[in-house]
Amino acid sequence: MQSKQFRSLNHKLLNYVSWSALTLLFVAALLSFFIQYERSKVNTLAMLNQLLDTVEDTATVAAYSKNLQIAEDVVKGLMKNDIVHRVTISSTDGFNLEQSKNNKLNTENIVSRPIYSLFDTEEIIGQIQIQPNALYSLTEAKYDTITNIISSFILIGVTALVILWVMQKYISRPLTLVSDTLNKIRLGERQRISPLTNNANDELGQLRTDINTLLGVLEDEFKKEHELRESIEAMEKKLRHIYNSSSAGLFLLDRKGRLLTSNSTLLTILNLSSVKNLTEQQLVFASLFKEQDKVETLLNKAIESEQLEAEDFLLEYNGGVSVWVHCLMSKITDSSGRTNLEGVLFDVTNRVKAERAIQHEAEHDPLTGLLRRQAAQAIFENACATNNCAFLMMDLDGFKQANDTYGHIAGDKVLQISAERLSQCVRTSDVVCRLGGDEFLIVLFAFQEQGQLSKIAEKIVLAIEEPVIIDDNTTIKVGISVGIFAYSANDKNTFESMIQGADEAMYEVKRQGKNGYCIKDENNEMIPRLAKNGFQIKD
Amino acid sequence: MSMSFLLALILFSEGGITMKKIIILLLLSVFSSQLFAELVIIGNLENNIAAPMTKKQVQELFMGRARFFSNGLRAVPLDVSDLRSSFYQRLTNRPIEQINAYWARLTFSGHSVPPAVLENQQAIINAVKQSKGGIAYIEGDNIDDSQVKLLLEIK
Repeated sequence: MQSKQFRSLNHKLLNYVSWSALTLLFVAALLSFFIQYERSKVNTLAMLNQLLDTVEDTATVAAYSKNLQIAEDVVKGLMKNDIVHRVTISSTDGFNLEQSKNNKLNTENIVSRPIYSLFDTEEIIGQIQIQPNALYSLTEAKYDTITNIISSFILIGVTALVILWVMQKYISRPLTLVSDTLNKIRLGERQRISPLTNNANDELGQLRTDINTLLGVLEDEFKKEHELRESIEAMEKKLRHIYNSSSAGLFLLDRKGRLLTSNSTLLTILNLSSVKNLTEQQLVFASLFKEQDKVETLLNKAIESEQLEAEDFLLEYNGGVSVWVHCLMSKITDSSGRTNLEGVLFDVTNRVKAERAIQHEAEHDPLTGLLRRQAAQAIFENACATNNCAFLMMDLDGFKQANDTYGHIAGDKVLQISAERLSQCVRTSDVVCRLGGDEFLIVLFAFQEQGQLSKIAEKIVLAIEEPVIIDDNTTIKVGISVGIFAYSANDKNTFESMIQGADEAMYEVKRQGKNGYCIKDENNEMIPRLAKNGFQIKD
Repeated sequence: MSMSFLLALILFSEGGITMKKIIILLLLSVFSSQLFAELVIIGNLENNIAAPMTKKQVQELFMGRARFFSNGLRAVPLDVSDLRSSFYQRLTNRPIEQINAYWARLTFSGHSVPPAVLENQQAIINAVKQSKGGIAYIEGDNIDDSQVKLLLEIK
């Protein structure tokens, strides 16, 4: 493309030079023609005057003597000149002679001269007129013009050729060379523009040197940049590998908690591997979790606190699989001033499960699955400040004998079933606890009135009274003594004092005859109610 | 310019009398009669043209421009051989050679004829007396009013 353009530069040059030469020529020819024509006219006039000078004497004689013959001779003589178109000789009160050529192109001025008397230079005795031949001037001018055109053509043409040659040799050809070479050179390559032999010391030579310098600088820059790019690419590859192969899910959220980027591990953890174009969906990260508000709180905390925030969250897949993840969040501000959140997500299901198992084990009695005393105390201490609480202290009646009679296994089974029955008698929000041996504790929260407590206690006693089937041949029947101590939220009772209160009530039942319940009220009055005496409830 | 004035001028001019001056004086004395004599134009007594004629009228008749007197009479101009040069010199202020050349040109054309030339003044007078349209010139001293009519004096 470019070399074509430069070839057309030559073409343009040729065009302009030749056209201007031709125009000059045309103008010069036109000017020359007019000048020559005018000059020719002046010449003609001079020649006519000279002719008149020549014939004047004879014409004077003819006019003076009124001699037609001589006048005719004069006219004939004049008419022999190419320059003359028409001749008129007239003498006053004598002849009037006129002769002209068959030529119609006669616009030129007539040269006229009076004929004076031979002897009196003031008396006009006639007139001689010559009308010049216009074609003559025209022809003269034409010849002169043609001569001029030829000479100017040679001059202008030669000059134009010389200009063209010089322009081509010193400007357009070197330029074409520079252009073609530049066109071929790919930036960053070693190739340079070869020296311009004719332009070593002029501006084009300087241009070539400068371009070569520029090319050199560019080459260096390209090389540097190439090396830099390669090292960056290598590093990026490494980092990407780390990023993608990391066992942690890595991700970036915008300020509003929408997912911007993530590695594949994150998608695996979140069970989103099959979702296409995830980043385009502007997925809200928090919505993936079961406890969405907790996640949002963490995000806000991370934005506000400007430090790493971490928490465990539960994920639930559609298939009902639950996964625990540990999520770390921190705020980052990128170079353009935008605030984002970067995060790391670990699958910590196994750890959490293990932890939970350990905690469960620590808190629960392995045989019955009920809470241990410490756990119960912890729950109580968390909740009693705002609740009315009632402690039901219980001890199985007849368990020791059964244990001794039927063995530990049967005893354990009695304990297990009794624990189940106890749990069924209260709400799930209430605490059922095995204190050890055949001692149980129930903490009831938010009970309304004493009647409720009595009902629950009666339900418990009746439930435990039901025989426990160990196997086809063995059925064990135990009873239970329930001591109840209730207090309102205003009272400052400790777990220990509550247990003690309930314990007292329970011993009151044991003392009265077992298998019943006793409520110790605020006035420390205790009225045991035994099963054998019958309870109030009917169901 | 009078003859005596010319003589005085030559004689008393600076440088005194030399041979050259004497020769000039001699030549002058020889031609003086011809040069300085008054010429008169004469015509036939019967020609009733008003005298004197103008110099121009005479000129036109002698140079062939006019062939008739202003009264319609055909003019017959005559030349006298010994006065001819002097006459034309006075009439046209031109040397006789030019007059001859003029006539030669006209004669060659075949249409005009110069005035006839007669030997002497007596012959002229006779010729004028015989021709009604005759017109010629003689020295003023020789004029006789009873024989010819004085048409013009030229000095």
